[in-house]
Amino acid sequence: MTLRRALSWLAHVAVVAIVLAMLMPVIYMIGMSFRTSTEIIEQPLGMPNSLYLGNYETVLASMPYLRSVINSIGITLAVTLMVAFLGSLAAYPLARRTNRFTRIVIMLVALGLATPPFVTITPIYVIFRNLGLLDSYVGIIIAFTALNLPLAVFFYTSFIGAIPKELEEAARLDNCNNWQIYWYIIRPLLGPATATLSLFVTLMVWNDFTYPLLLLSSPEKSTVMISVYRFLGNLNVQPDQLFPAAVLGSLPLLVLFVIFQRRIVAGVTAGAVK
Amino acid sequence: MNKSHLKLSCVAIAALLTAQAASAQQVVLDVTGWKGNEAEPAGMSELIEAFEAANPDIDVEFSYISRLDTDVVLPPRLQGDNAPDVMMTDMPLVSIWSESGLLADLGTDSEWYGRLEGSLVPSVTNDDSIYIMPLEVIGMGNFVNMDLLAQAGISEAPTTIDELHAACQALDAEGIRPLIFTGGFSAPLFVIANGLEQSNGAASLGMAEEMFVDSAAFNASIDLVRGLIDNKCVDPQGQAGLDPWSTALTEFKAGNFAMMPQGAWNIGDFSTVEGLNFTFAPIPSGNDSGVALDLFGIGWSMSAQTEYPEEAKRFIDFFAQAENLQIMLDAESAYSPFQGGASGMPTLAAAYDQSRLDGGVIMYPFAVLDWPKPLEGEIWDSLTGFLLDTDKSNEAVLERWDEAVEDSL
Repeated sequence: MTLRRALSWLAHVAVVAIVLAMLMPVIYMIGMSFRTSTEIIEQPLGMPNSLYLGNYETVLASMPYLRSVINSIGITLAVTLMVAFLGSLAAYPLARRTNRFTRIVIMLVALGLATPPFVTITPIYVIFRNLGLLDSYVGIIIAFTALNLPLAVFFYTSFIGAIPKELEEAARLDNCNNWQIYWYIIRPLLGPATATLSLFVTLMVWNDFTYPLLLLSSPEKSTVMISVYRFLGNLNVQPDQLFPAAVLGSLPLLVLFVIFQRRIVAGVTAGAVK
Repeated sequence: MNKSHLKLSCVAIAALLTAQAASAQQVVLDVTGWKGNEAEPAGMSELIEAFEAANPDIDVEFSYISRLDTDVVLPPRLQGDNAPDVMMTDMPLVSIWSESGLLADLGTDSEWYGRLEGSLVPSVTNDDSIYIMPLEVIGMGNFVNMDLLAQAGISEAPTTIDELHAACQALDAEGIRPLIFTGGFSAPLFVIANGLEQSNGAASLGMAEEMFVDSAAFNASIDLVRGLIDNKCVDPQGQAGLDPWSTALTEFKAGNFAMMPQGAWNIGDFSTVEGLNFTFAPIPSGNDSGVALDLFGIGWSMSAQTEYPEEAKRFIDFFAQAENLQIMLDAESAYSPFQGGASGMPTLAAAYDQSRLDGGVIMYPFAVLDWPKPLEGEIWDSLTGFLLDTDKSNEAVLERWDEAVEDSL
């Protein structure tokens, strides 16, 4: 019994240590953001003596923070919804009709996952220019949706494959058509997969700055990561500016995760234990 | 409709037409650059404001794109016929984009072309065409903390290898760490500067006409590093992996090291550190003058696809005017690429200035395309590896350089 308690205690200590190690960069980033440049120079790895807000004042004065946060939230939300909807819609027939054609389609989707981004960047730019989608919110949302769809389709296909067909057969007996089966039977069962997928997509869209840099040229349309990116030098780093900018860049996402933490965790873990 | 209504309508229509005509004449220039952000302002916002005031018919829309991302973001725009009107470039970019016909010839008949420093003219001219208007030449030398040197009883920054060794011994005796020598950037600067000073020129090495591995100058330069290690100037394993763009700079600013080979672009930042008494000197070498390793870094290029070539040229020409360029040179602590010796170097860089006057100047071979760009990364990697394992032979290091050159030919 004592041994079991000791092992349990050790396991808890190990978990706390691992969590602390994982959080260390975040703690360091937040700590640095409240230190003066002199403090940072004197003790690069130290923690703040006091909560110095001057760095935040300087950074906020030179970045369109609120506007760029609203842009980022809007784009991320739209992309996540579109990816979840279109991905699950495409995956449903691919999971249910297994023949040579659907297998080829799934392979093509997998190819989309394996394609390096620099291969697609020029064609995307040229197509969007021809369609008049440059420097528009619609353009960037379509681009991110297209880039994330292979992941979603791949993800949902295997998940839908595990849903018992009997549920659909029962719905068919009740005269449901394919769309109704998808909407009323399949879609609600995809909650856990959607929660996990949304996490991936949200992080990817929020943190990406290559496509916003390429497709959005108006400063008022820039995302929060583009605003943060301006604080990173080519040949030097100003920690008293970069760290508060980085905190401000990730803060909205952190707040959203805290607010929806229960739902996200419930979604991700649902179905894990029977 | 009575008379007063008619008059009012006429005035309104006239005002509308005038406004429309004015907006039709207003040109918006799309400009991109990797200077002008919060971290490296380079006087850009001030200069753009001044340009717009002097050219009320032109609005400049400036976008910051880092040097690294320029390679990713601008090629699709260039290939998609939607390039910025004016782009910040350097010679590696110019060589690729001009060959593909993506850049416009700025014309060797440009007023500023005749004023360019003679040493730059061959590098930037390509078959009587010029695709870049150089903005600055920036020094790469040795930052020296004079207070730490004074504690060791030394009053002047070392410019020769012998002086460097003497300084290292004195500093080490006082318990002061002498030299930051990062495998990326700092160590390469030292090795390249000393190697080139003793060799017959960079071009033959960059064309594989001469091999690094057979070069007595570069073998001797690596031996110099061994000497620095033996003399406790450098802690090789402790510094090989230091990041030259963040950690190393902080260490120097904190006064934890006495010297650091780096670029003059740090002068502005270091000058804001209270109590940091430093100078910018040439890289110590076998000659009395040391080596002033000059980097021709940035310039403006005009897109071949621009709809506004005349306005784009006006923008570029604006930066060629001495009083305008001086704003950038001051912000960057750089030298003018034009004749006349204009400089934004402060007096604390007098030793570097003197080295240039004494003939100690060597152009950084990557910036003028004497050496292929992939070699730069190979030099950084191989020297980092060497610092981590100093038992490696010179041959093992220099063979990697030769392979990188051969691969890029």
